[in-house]
Amino acid sequence: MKITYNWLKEFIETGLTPEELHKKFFTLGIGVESFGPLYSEVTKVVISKLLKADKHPDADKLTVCEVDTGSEILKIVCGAKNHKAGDKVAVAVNGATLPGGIKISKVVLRGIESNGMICSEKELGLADSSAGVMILPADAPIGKDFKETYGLNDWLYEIEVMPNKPEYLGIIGIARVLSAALKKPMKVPEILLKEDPSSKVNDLAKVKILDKDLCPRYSARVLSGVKLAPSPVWMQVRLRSVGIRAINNLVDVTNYVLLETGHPLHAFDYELIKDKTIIVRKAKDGEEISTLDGVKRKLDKDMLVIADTEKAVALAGIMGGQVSEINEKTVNVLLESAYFEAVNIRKTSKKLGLMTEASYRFERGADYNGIIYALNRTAQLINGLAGGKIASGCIDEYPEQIKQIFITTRFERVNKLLGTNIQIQEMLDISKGLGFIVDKTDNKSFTVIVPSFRTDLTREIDMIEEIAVIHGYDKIQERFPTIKLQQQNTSLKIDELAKQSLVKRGLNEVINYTFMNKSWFDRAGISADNEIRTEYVNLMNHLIEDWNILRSTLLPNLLNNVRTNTVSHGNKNLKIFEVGKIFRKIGNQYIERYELGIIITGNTSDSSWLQKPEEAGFFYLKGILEGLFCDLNVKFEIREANNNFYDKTSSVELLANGEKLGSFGEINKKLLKMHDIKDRVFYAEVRLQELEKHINIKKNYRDLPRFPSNKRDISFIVDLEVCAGEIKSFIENIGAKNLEKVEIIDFYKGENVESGKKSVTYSLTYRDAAKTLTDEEVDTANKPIAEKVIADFKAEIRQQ
Amino acid sequence: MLLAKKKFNKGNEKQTMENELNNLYVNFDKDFEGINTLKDLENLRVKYIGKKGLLSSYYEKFGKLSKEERPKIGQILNSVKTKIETKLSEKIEVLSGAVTSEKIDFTMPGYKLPAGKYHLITQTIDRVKEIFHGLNFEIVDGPEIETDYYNFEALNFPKHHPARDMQDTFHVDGNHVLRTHTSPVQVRTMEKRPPPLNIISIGKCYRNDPLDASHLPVFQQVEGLMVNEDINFGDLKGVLKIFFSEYFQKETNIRLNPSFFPFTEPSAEVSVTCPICKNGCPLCKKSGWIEIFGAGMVDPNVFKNVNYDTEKWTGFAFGGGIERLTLIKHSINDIRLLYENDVRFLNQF
Repeated sequence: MKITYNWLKEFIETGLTPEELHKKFFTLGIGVESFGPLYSEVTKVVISKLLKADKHPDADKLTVCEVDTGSEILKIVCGAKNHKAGDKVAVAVNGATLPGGIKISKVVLRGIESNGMICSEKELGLADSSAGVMILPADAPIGKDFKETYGLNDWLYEIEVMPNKPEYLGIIGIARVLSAALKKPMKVPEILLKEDPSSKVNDLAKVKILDKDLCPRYSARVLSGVKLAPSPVWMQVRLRSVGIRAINNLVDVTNYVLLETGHPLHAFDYELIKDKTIIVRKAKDGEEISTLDGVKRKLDKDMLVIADTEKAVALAGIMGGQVSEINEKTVNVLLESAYFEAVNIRKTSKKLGLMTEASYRFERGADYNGIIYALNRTAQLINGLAGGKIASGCIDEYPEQIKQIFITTRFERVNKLLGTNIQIQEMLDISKGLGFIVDKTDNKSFTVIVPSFRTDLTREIDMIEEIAVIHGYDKIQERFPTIKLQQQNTSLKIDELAKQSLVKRGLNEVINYTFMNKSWFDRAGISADNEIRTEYVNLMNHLIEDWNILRSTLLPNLLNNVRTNTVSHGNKNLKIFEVGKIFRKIGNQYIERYELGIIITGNTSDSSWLQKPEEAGFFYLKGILEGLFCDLNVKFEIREANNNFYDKTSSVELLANGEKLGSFGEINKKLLKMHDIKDRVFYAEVRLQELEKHINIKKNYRDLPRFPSNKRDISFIVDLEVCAGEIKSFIENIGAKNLEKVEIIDFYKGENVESGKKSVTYSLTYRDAAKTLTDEEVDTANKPIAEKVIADFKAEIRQQ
Repeated sequence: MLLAKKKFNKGNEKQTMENELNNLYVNFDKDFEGINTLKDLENLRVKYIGKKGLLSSYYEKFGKLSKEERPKIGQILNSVKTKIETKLSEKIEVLSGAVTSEKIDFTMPGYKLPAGKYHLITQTIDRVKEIFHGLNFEIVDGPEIETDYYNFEALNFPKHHPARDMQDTFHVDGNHVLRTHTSPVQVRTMEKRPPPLNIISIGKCYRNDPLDASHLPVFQQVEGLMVNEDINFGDLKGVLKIFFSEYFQKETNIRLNPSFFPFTEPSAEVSVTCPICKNGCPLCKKSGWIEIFGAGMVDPNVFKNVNYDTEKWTGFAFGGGIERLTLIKHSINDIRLLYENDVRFLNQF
């Protein structure tokens, strides 16, 4: 909703400057999206009289004009055709500025000096296009400033109207709240209708409401003999200022009154209404109407139309029909001012995808009593601008009185909820100022009748808010509540624990948008039968084409992160992770659960004079995961597996107590190529919510050893196929006396080791809790272990 | 005579011993200078302070001195021994390479230890949680795919009401949406728990908006709710004052302007005094105030939906964007930077 400072001033003298008014709006909850002076680019435009308009001697399309600006006679070369001597025009004199950064100065056009410019509406910023220069009314005062005279010195406020404040969709509603807040009277234009006693509206037209639920009230007037013409300059300027195109004096008036009262009106060509009968009814299924925007629309039986005895002539409360449209031949007019039910207007508007100034207001709740004022105001203005006669009387079909709403408000409740000390008298004054009628009061409460323009208010809390707004939120004192302390669960959740563990190990957290595109499954190597791909959650609507589903895997976004970082930004050595939700639809159930994705590429650290570059590969990633499991106190288990997005030779599944929780490995080259990534990339994913079942972060103290340990290192040469970890478990399970720990400390293949074989070194730690072990005791325990491994794994001892 | 001689000798002896010890040290110094190997150093040690070394003989002589003579000579003896030992041990370190006589170039960079970082948004979330924990608010959570009931109806957005146009909604199916705010968590929590309660919910929310410098289709919201027997509008101001003063680490004032949210009444737009400037800056558009949260007293219709007694209990709710809190605190001018995940950006915080 756009309003201007001067327009509002006609309804209330606030005594505030435009800037002060801007601030006041905010404290009243009237959000202002933009505010600023209008036509500030237009300067030094003077109302002048055209004295002469002669043909340019050297150019057919130009005229050489002389204009009287009141203070001087100027010679101006002009390119328009619609002007003639005697016209009043708007002249931008030398030094003037116009919209679009235009500056006027002396120029020579085809050999003739031109001092200034005769302006068109377009050049003044009053129209999108103009056929010629702007011809001003004959009584325009010569020598006066154009902006001043026609109300261009104004300020515009673009107001954001909240759904609960339909009254702010009209200037009167805004003036009313200002009046209550500033305690200044408001002025509503007086209605003085000159009705024609010789014609009676009831003889000229009839209105029948067939659906009184959807149209509780319908009023109409008939005007005859009107003369269609452009509206006067002041009205054109005013409409233009609030972004509405001026059309003619009939349509402009209905728009003008709409902005004043907030009530939508419609003008029909009376002659085009068959049998001069208005029937408000539901459409028939499949019934068609061509609306004013030139679109032929198919209706259904839930939509309300305004019809005559033959056809629909308008889409009720939304848009008129072409069939009854005001046209250049119109002389007799039927004016409609009606009240339509909000929900049905909204449903129809949504179904047809047609939102108009009218539907916007009706769906927010119109003023069922205000329709008569709006109707009369329109008739009065049309009569003033387009002449003709107003038939006496007004049709007012109102089959069933809309029930008034009463609200009782307790004085104590107001202050208790707001934390204020508002006096009873102030509450009553505020209510009256806002147009409520105080029905009765007692020592505890007061009851008001809700005015017809505030149908959104029904409850005590609504009144409390009204009082709070006018009293002023700034007067509410801050207080620090006294609360009863309650125990809270402050322990870290699995997602937080995982993040902590990984950040601690030097990884960077990333957070991605939770959307992805279906096509990314291919780019992430997820096969067609994978549940990630078959059970995704689809979005019914989305603005951004790339995002049409919710992510069912973290991988695609993480691969994008690698690409943008390494390929686009040159950030090598990436070690990043994301902990976030993924979404699935299984049957009719939506599943959302936390997953962890880790992706690494490049080196373990930036190289430096102290640090040699070392690739962050499979075992680096494995180390991160082992660390995570260790932090969560879960035994780390893996087994060989394969997934499409991994390289076939290096990927494993991750388990805890035999339950599969995820996987890790090297991303296959084909996928990387699709992302233009040249470096090797390693990825891990872990289902955190499933991991959570296995964690045990309560850790108990174990006695520290009091006696020294004794170590034995053994290197075994075994076949390449033998897993080092299997030998480790084997040794652990032998049950050797005092064997505390087995570690794999070295791996070697190559020179000095037969091809097809590898050497793995184990470090065995022995300790007795009660005494220091002798070398002999350790050797005795250690010897059979080596023998057993040799026997079971066809191993041999590698001599150092 | 013998006695006299003895006496004389003794006095003389003291003099001589003092000189001799001084000479011994001078000689040691001379010998020490030419030493270049650990072996020579060891020989030198044996020669001077070994069991049968030059200095040892003076300890024998020392035993024969009179009571009066002992303190002074003892002092000299010890000091010579200490000096020799110190020089020897310093030289051992040098010769064995334990210390270098070369000065280090301390301008060379240090070892680069890996440093992981929480995403900036996580840092903000953790900070917000911490502050509210301190105020005895409990963190609660809820689903991101929400039913129409919890996202709208229970929060007093009737079906077919224009209030639904306030939030451009992603629809998943006829009855499910991506939650447009964290407020459904309020309802879910209240359904399960009787009042009083103080809760905070933080998480991703969705609006079908275009992506630009100040809008994201996915963003994170923090939402708070306090319900008790005597909670009023002033309490809301008080709690927010504490929160923002703590968050910005600066005394912050709260300004409420009337607004509209279906689930609160009265509703307010919350502004805070600009955390950056005193007299106007681009961030606050020279007004000194920044709009930051939405808030209000819980609408009785919401309480009715969860069977709370609207006469007995009152409460306030507030909410705002985690991203906005982050941008303001760190002077970031484009919201999209937060989710580009450029490590050069992430590493700045």
